[in-house]
Amino acid sequence: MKIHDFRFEILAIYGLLLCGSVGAIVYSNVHLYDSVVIIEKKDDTLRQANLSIPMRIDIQSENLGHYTISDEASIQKIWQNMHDITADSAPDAISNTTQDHIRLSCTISYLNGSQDTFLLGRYLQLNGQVYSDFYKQPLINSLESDLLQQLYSCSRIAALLPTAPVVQIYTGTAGNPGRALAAAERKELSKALLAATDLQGQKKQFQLATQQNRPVAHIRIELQAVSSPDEIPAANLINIDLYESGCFAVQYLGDSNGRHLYFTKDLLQYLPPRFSQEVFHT
Amino acid sequence: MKKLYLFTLVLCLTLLSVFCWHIRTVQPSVTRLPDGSPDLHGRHIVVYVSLRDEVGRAYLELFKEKTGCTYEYLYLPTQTALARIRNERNHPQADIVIGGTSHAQIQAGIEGLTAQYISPNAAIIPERFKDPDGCWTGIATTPLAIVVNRARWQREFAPQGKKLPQVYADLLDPDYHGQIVFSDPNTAGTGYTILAYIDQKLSPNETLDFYRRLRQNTAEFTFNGYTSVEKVASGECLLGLSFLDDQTSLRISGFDLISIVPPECAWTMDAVSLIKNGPNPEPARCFIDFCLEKETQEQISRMAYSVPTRPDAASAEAPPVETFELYTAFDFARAGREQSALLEKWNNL
Repeated sequence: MKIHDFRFEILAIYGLLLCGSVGAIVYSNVHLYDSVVIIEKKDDTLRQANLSIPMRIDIQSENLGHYTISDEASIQKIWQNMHDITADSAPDAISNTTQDHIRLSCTISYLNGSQDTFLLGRYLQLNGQVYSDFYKQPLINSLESDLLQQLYSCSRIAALLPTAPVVQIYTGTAGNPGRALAAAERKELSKALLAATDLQGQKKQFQLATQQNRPVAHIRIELQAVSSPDEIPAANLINIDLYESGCFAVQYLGDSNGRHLYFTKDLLQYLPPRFSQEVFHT
Repeated sequence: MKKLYLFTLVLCLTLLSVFCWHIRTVQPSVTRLPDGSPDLHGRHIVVYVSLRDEVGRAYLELFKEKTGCTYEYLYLPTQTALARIRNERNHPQADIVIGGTSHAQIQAGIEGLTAQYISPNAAIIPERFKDPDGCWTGIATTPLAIVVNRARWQREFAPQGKKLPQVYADLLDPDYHGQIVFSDPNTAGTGYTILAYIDQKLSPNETLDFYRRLRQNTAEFTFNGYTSVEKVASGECLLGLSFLDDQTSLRISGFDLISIVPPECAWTMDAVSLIKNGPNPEPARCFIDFCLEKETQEQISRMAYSVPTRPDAASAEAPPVETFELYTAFDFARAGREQSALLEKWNNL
């Protein structure tokens, strides 16, 4: 008696099931939205949700002071960066070595009132653990740079100017002696900085950067007093390059990315006339 | 009946494969804007940048302005960029890697991590600045120079009649113990370049001795090359070893730095490569074409201070490449191949 061979029928059924499954996945992805989902444990879900909604990030730097980030987009970006660093990482325990490299201390405040503190430098230190995976170093560096950028905005520099131990202006070629800005000049400069327009991401920033255009003067701000004027830690120094076109570029030497932030405002006109003559005759 | 079942099965699977492949790969072909530039509005690229942050962004912003192509980028020092591309070999997340020391991109080409693409704009670029198979193409070069903080030198060493270091080996002088800042060769291509250069110039014993003494004199190892120049510029450190373009950038910002380019100097070339099986190959190829245009190289050299690889591109701030006595025998491919072994030697000292 001939036995019927079902192999092909079984294969075909498996094939159709596979196609059906793939189709269902595609369909469910397409129709993920516009559907009602009933949450059974409301309190638990709300508690979890509140815990994971960061509302504010406070940053503290030894040299640049304190700043609070409260705009949602920046918080989300920082939050996402932290998640990327901690995801799939094997954290280490805190040691004296890791403590030596801390440059920023930050606190995240959540919607439910709880807080997390994280420390940042060469490593990310969060909840008693240190994340220093080699592959995550660029992300840690990028997070630090994003946070630092908030600390040397024009408004922050304007706030730092009155109390900074040294604010000097330099003209001409490198090596020319600087001149300290008097209190009144610092005040004028602060006002001008507050009125400056940020060019970040704008076409003009890149036009300025790629023009053959050397700065005509530099303002150098030392954030903390140092014992030797020639040996200033890089993290203690902000440099502002002033261009004849009425733009200026801010660089914090503690930011390892070499980033310049570009702004428009003719800072030279806020300095005494004798200074402007110095600039254009050197 | 069997044949019918089989036919249905094969047909379903074929249609499914074609459908999936279609979703993965189909992209509209590139049309041209009135000025002849590719029209990439609605297109996107992902780039790993090992150039100075603002230089990388300038490339991308200028490209976006010209073509409409949006972008995402991640700044990575050379060694970490290579490690990341290796790590993502089976699921590439980026389309382009740009900048960093060239041994890494050459090594990426050898390992099959980057795809071949010979841009029509590469024809003018000298042979030594490009891969004949198109795995990478050089966009700019710069020598590895010694950098000195002039004020500190004049205060601490000039009164003793000491001469400025002229060659890399002068940095091994015990007088400079704890005075040098240098980028970590594990993360930064700048740091690795000197390791590879010394390995190719000296005997194995001399190389080890050089590494040991350089380590002894080094006060700090930084994450990338630029940070080491920032530390010399501020006076935090007296001496450093880094690429000349980074030093020029800070000198233009008014910092009084002395740059010394030794004879037969180590050097690098910033290159651009197409990552194999990246998600957006077509706009990525357009980006490489853009990087090799004369206008782009001239614009970028005004802020990057490196020397363009196109002989017809003028460079405002960087002297012509002939000004420096480059160690032309430097074998970038060997530097890439020997990376693990040299880093092991260095880390085990």
